[in-house]
Amino acid sequence: MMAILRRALWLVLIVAAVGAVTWRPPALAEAQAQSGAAVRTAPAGHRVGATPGKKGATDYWLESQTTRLTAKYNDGTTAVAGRGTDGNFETKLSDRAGGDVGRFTVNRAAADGGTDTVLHYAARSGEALYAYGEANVRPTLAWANTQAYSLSKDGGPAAASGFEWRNGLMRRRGAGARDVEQQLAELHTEWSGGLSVRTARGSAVNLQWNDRRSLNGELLVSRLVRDGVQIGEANWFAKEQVLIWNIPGVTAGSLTAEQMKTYGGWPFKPDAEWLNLQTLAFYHFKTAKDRQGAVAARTPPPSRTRQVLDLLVAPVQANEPGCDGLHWLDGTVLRFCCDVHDRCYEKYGCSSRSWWQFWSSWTCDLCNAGAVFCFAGGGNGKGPFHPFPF
Amino acid sequence: MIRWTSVLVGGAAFTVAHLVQTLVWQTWFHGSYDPWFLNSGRAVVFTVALLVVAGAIVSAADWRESIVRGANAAAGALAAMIIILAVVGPGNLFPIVIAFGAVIAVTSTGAGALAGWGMHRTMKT
Repeated sequence: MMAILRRALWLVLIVAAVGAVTWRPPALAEAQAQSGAAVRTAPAGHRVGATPGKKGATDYWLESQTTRLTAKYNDGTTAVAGRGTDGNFETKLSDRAGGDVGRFTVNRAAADGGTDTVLHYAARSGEALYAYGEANVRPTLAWANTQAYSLSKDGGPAAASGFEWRNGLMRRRGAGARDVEQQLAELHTEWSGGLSVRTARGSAVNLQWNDRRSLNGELLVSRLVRDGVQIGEANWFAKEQVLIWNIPGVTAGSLTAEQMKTYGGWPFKPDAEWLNLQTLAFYHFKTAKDRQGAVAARTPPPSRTRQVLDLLVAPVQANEPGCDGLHWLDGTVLRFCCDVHDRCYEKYGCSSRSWWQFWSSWTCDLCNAGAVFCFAGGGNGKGPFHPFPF
Repeated sequence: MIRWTSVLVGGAAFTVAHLVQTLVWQTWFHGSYDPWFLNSGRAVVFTVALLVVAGAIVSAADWRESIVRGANAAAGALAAMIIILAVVGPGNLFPIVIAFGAVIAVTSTGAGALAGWGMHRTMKT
């Protein structure tokens, strides 16, 4: 009798353990599709795959790889935004002569025990503005530059009338409308892996394209550079709503408003920030795909052993910025080890499988060994055997 | 040397900690990534607290075996940790994550076991 009870207790514990780790809160569970429900088809011309005006996770991931963003405005003002290792931003504003105009910082660390973003603008005059971020605004380097420029043009922190949130920007109460994007003359995105893109504003006059149509009007010209050498170009014709890109040896093509009609048109208003990230995305994703190969064409069917191992270790290959599974260390010196490991994985197309399938890639093994060595050395970059870790 | 009750208590303590974190990940733990105790400093503190309590409980049951029972509780917590990590997604640093988790589990349950042993001695005298 006791043996039966003991066995029953074991079964209950195992079921409870499996149920516990796969359990999701009710709100999430309700979102799951119910079986038997009719499939809702999207008609042609209906927007799919994106929420208009809202950026997606891919866009934010691409943005997160930007190390420095330099914006030059028509009035000679330059805004340089940089990302710190702690995830915070700082924008330095300077005038045409190079003189300091102001500094704007975005501190995303927890404030007063909460998770508010704290914004700080300090003008050259010494006046400062402290404010909490708006819940609907997700700060990016481009946003920080735009916000800093806008605050300086609104008269800085000394505005007696106070400030208000307008279209995602802090504005002086009563200030007139301003389209900062139109005042942007050039935007330079410095990305990871020695890549950078510089977009400048221009105009096209009867530019012949495809022997069929001529392109006119406002033009954004984006040049992709790797290690100081131009490797590609992308052009956005705002009036014609045409995007043309050419990265020799990697990808070339075009997208027109007519082609986008199937998807309900362009789901957002393309600007210089988007063009820079899009050009980087063309290069990054195409080269990554070429390096790893088409999954269907080159990957052999998984062996039975592999299938069993996949069941035991979920094949998650997603790579989050920072220390995956150890994000409480993101603000510490160990973040360096994680970033180096992430870049190594990205460069050689590794995944978490490379830890236990060590025979599959020696380069991935080196990435992993480097990470262990770095962690063991406390993030000093010299490993555990250096006599002077700091 | 295997004390199954201690193993189960350690595993249950870690599983309960994970469940609570999944429930109130945003509000209590201010989590930005997936619910997992090493993704938030507050979640680390919460898990450590539960494992210390688990270590103290198993140790108090028989103070002469405090360390053995504490080690068994740590093994249970570590087993639960590895299973949960495999289910939620191991990430690209998972062996290092497990190493960190093991250090935390052993330290926490060990501290709890010592506390349980100390309490028992104090009450006895």
